[in-house]
Amino acid sequence: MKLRTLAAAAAATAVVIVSSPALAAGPPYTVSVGGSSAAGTHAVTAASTGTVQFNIRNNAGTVINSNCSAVSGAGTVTSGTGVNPVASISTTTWVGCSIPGGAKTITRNGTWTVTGTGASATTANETIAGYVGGINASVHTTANPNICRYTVTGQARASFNEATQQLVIGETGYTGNLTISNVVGCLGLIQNGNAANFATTLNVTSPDGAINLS
Amino acid sequence: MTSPTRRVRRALTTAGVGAAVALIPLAAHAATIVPIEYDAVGTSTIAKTGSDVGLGPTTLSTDLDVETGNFTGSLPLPGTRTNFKAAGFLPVQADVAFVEVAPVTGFINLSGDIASVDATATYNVKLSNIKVLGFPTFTGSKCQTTTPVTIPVGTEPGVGFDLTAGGRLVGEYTIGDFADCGANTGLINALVPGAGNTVEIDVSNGRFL
Repeated sequence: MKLRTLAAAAAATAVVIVSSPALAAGPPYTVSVGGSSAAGTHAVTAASTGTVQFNIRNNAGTVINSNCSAVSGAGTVTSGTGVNPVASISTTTWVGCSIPGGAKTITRNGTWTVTGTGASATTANETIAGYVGGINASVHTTANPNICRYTVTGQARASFNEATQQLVIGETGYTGNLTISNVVGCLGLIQNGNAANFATTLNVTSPDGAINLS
Repeated sequence: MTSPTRRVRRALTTAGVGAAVALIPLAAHAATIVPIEYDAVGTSTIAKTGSDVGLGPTTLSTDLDVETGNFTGSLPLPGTRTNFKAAGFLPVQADVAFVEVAPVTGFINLSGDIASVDATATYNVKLSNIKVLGFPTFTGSKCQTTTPVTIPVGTEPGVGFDLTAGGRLVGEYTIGDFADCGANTGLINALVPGAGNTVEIDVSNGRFL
């Protein structure tokens, strides 16, 4: 009884804190890797093709640009039928990240997932909408973490292009899907609850072959 | 005997208090002031004499409030010697000292792609050991500006400031009249005071203390 009540209270608290709208998962997919849809997991790596844009809009409407020159990551993609989420990201490496005033360091927390939301594809050359979920990253100024540190959590809209094998992350418009919390310092320019944009294009590679969803 | 409802209420109250206790220390114990030191060196050009006065090398010490971006600090400037020509041809030499009369105050603004800095330093400017045509003149030891000289400096438009690497600060300021300069008071006030004096200070090598 007590546990149930406390759990309900905790859930209610979580709903209050995580105000960003959840992106709904799409239908399960048949995922093939290298032409095989046999159930299994396959190593996958991803590397950005250009700048990683990360922008925060603060309470005053000022945009704080906090970009990186590159990001790469590794994880697994799940093949088989009835699959969704289709991939997970368990490691990331962020390069050349800065915030106005200096360099910043990003540390990914937990495992991020890639979930499809679009209709099942019928050919091998389609673009399937989705999102990167479970995003949780700790960010701080590299020179001294006390100058500015915060956490980014939420989801980022994305799409996977089967023809180019690119995951295009395009969380723009400060929707609140990605939000800032645990702000310390930051010279008063970043506040808890600020919305963030996150955009980059990643080349996705699996040693087992091309990834396709149907 | 405690009823289940009362036990739940007590549990929720305890959980609430626990959550509050867990949150409060983050704010109460946050390190809001971060001391940073920089190397600083620069030049000021006196408009009326067209002469340069070396500033530093010295150390800019700041206490940055990381919650607001405001900072206070100190920029002690070692004495220097300047040369210029009075009336365009009379060589004049003088020792120049900048005596801090108030802390440096400023603000670091994060927005867009760069951080900008605006700051104000305040000094009394003292002159001594004045020589005209190479001959010593009586100036005394109290020859200084009658009111402190306020020097506003900031990052140039479009040029950022890096909290670690530093950046260039520039500004323009006015020097008021001097007093207590003995027989040179009139000469100095004819030659030095005025607006349009410029300053450039390169701040580098930020050190978080």
